[in-house]
Amino acid sequence: MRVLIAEDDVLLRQGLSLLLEVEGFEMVGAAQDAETFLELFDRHRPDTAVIDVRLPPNFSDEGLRAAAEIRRRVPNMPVLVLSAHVDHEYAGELLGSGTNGIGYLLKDRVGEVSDFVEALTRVARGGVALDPEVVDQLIGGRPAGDPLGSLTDREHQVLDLMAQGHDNAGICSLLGLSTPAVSKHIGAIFGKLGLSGPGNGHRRVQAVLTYLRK
Amino acid sequence: MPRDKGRTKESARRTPGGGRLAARARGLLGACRGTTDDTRYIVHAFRSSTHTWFLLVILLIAQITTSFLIGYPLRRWVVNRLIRVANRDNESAVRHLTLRGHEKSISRSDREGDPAFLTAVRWALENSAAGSVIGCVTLVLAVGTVVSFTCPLWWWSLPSEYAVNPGLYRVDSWAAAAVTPLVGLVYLSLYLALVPRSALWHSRLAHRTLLQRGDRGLLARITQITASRDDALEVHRTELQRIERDLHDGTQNRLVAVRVHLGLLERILAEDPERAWGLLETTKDAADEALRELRHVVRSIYPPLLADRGLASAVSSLAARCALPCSVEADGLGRAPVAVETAAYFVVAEALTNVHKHSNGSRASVVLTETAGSVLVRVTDDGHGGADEHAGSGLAGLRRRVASLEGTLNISSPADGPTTVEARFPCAY
Repeated sequence: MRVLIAEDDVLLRQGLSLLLEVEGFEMVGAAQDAETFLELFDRHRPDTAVIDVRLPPNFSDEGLRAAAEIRRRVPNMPVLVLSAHVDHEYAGELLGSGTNGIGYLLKDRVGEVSDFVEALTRVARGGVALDPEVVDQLIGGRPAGDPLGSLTDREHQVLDLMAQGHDNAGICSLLGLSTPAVSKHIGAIFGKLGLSGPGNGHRRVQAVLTYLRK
Repeated sequence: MPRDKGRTKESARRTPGGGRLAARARGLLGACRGTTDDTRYIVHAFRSSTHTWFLLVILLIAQITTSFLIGYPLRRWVVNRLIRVANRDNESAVRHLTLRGHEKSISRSDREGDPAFLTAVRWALENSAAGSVIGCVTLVLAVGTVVSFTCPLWWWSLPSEYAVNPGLYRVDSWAAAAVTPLVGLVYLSLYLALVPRSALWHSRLAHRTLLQRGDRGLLARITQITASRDDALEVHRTELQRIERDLHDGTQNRLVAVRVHLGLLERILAEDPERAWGLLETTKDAADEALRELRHVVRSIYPPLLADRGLASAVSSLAARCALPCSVEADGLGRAPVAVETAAYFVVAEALTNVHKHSNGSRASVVLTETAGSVLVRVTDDGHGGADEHAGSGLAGLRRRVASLEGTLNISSPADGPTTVEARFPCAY
């Protein structure tokens, strides 16, 4: 899988490149700012991109804008955005360009190599990877009387993992539950949240997020 | 009549190519609305001025008759009335200043209680003249405008010995009547030009006179404090922003790099121990770099030495670390408020950085003294001068920081040097 990254910090850029190479990705380039990134993107057309939110020259949200730009050039282009801090508002902006192949993670997660690689692969295949902290922000702080309040703890855990982008099998192994049990929980969640229809892959994340973003 | 003019312009809007005309018409409508407010204000001022005349006469009578029984209660009554009128005039002036977008002229100190008797009398004297004059002028211009514009409609109905005279001639023929609207235009222009100015002038006069007497000094002080508070807030904002950037983009990135390398190590340790050793070195470097960054951030917020030992020690340490030889003279310096010490420290730090980077000098000297309740910091170099405050943000930021503590920053940097940066902070507030 061919990857392009944009990260201004030298050490981090090198570490990230090395890590992706070791994990069997093909690095097509590593840009230190958004402009170079877009140039390299047009030249190499990678399968997926990893972008830091803050890039020179202003260190505000150049990375987010670069992500939006490449998704404008190539619809549904898989992008994993890394940030020193995560906020559900940024997540909303990212997901505004469609929920195919979007990732938004804290930079810290990169250190947990297998999880990071799994998330990147998921995004590259058109899935979603949201940082648990964003999901917490979205699910937590709901007003009383909200249907989410009626979820059991287990259902909350399942919804949390679903929102992060895990599929049923992933949830089974992460929570140590059987497949029918997980399906039952998911059914209950959709029932309580008033969402109907088959829940599959990122479509259900979309459903969950559409609901959460309301 | 200003409204009539607005309507004429409005109809012009419908003519082809009237985009600019329409905009002008809208501007004119706004101006007319403003003039209406001005007129209303002047009507109020005029009424209050006639009222004042009446009260002043009664006051005079009361003063004369104080020795008789009737004088005293009469005087009390008239004083109360004068104070009430003064109060109303100030309110009306403030309202007018706000309405016409001159909030800046309004003193922020809310008056507590009523104006004193003397202030009320002083205002009564001022307004009996000012209010009457602007009232009469406005009245003359208004009547003149109306009469001149409508004259062609009714001049013939008057008996010839009563013919109107709107300007310099008598209207006693159709030809003369046809010209009067032109005279009306002159009246209208004068009205539009004079009325807003007189209203503004009068409202300012009223507000200035009726401010709490004797507290001009207090007012000046409040203005000063407001300005330094604004500076302090701005300094605070930029500081917070800088610290957030430093921590997120510096320290945290270094730590993430450490984490990434550790993750990598974990993956390749078993398969490629050789490579793992190399990575271990990089990881250690990244961790050292993170610590260095952290120390730097802490020092940029509040230097630890400053906290422990005070300004003299902290500046000496700064001088010792300076790339050029730097002497420090710190006599009789006690502990000043933390904010002052910190700001003084950063003045020295920034000045020394500039000496090293820009002045091309060979040495620098720092003087710290405390005199008459203020701390003075002076940094001098022997380089070429010509430091430009507006070129970089360094000196401008310093000025703001010093101003936020009501201090003053003087930079003297003639073209052939030397450069002296001097900051003085008041410590006794």
